[in-house]
Amino acid sequence: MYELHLGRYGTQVTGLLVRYSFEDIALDPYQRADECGCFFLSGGKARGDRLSFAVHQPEAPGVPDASFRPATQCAPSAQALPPECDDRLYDLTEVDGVLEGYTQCGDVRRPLRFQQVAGRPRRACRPPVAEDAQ
Amino acid sequence: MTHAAPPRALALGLLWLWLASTPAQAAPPISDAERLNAPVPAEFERPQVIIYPLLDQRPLATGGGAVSPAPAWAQLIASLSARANLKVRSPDGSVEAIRRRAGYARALRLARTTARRGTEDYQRARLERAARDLGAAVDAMRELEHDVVDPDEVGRLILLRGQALLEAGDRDGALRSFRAALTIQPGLRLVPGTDSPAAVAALDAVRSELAADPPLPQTFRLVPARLKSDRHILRARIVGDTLEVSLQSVGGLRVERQALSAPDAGDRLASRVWACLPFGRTPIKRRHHRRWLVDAGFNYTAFVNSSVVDLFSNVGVGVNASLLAAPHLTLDANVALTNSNRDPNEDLREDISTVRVFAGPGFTWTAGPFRAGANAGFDLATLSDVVTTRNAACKHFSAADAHPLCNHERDINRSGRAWRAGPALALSAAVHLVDDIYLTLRVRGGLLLYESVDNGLGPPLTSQLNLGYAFD
Repeated sequence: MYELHLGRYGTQVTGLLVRYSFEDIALDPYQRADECGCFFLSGGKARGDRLSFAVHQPEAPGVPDASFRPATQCAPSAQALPPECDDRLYDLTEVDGVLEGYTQCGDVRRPLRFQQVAGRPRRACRPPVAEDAQ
Repeated sequence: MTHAAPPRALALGLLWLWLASTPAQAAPPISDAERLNAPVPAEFERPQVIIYPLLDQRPLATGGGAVSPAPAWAQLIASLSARANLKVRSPDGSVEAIRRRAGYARALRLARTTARRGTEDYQRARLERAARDLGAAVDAMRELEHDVVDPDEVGRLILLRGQALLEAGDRDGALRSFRAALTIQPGLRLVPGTDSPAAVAALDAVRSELAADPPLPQTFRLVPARLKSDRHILRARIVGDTLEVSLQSVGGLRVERQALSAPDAGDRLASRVWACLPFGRTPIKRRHHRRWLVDAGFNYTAFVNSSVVDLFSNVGVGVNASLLAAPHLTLDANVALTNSNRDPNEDLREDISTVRVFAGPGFTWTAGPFRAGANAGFDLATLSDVVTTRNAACKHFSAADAHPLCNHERDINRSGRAWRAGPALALSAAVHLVDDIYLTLRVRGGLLLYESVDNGLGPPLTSQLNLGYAFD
């Protein structure tokens, strides 16, 4: 499962993409026990309701510090995670508060759907600290 | 009771003294004649009387012989000129004024060229062309009022046209020309033995006819369409033993007649003419009433052609004070405080606070409840730090987030506080709503002559919508 934190500035889009190791997690951006990678977005563009962006440096996500767990260490379903790739593109359109579209890596293209949830947007890949959780 | 008598007697005595002394101390009454003949002040607005040369129609009856000068005419001019309240232009002055008109000399040259061609045509017996050219020349000269300057020249050309028409067989046209020629110059004659006997006879017949009832020229009957209200044209003619004056004013035409045989005929006629004219007036000194116009309201500013950020708005408040220092002249001072809004891409990372001061003189026009103005002046402004970036990552993530695509030091521009100055032009329109309260819209644009820091923002364009009050 992917968690998307977007910031739109006119025609530019930036933000974070967080990957979790299993499905149906109760989303909590600051409960990162199951977090399995946090990536910055790059090259984000917005045209009307349509957004497109790529994941920046998928093999060097966020802040690579001691708390970061690479995909191979994400338990318990790490084996089921698709491998990340360079230049993974996301092409999404907002429909009634839901972002729908595709993600594409090489020639492989698969549909994607992001559900809007309430909560504070996350602006950092670094591990949560006390003031972030406030 | 007996103690009250002395004070009462004293009071009555003082009252009697006051009543007795009042007439003796007051200025003697001024008669109307004295008042009317008293000198007028220099700024007095005097009616102008433009006197045209005299048309003496007595030669119509004399067969061409000389007539005695009419002293009444000179007396009339002298008497009118002596009136202090009138500004009189003599006949010679009127002729000179016609000569000095723009285009007069050039148009007269053209008319004379046409007249020469017509004369040559007549001499070569090209009678129809002669009549046409002479008619055109005469029309042009009369348009110039050259018949006033030189009635003999114009009269001779009309006479020649009449001769051409007569020889061409147009007797009615010829007689009309002869009448016109004698109306302009009653002393015109043809020369028996030199000119055609038929023309001499026809002219003499017309002269005899006109002598019985001298024609009134059309210029005497019509008030010029563009005559100014403070100008009056006086045209005069002598008919028989009568000096007849036609006074043309915007209000209409008035005719006065005076027998030449009467003693002081010119003076008498001048008195009657003078009575027909307005006396003139001392201009009312319009003391300008200085007024303060103070208004305040909303201010909207945009910096056009900015290099670091797309167009964004700045909103705030403004106050304008305007002193009506003289008619149509204002001195304006304007202060505005604004704060920036978001730009479309949010490149602007911090609000910009601006203080602008404008001062300058201007012109103002008022029409009923509406007022318009234009001011040219100087604009001084100070702007807070302009912080911008085009990098979306820098906009979204803070420096602590350590985003790999944002170098906060490199990708974020900070200008520092800037001072700017330059000339500015302000245009305003206002409408008075009720009493002294008005609503005004003011637009101001300027150029940058000086800026302490180049913050990348272009010159400002400001609009203000203010509600104001006019103070006496």
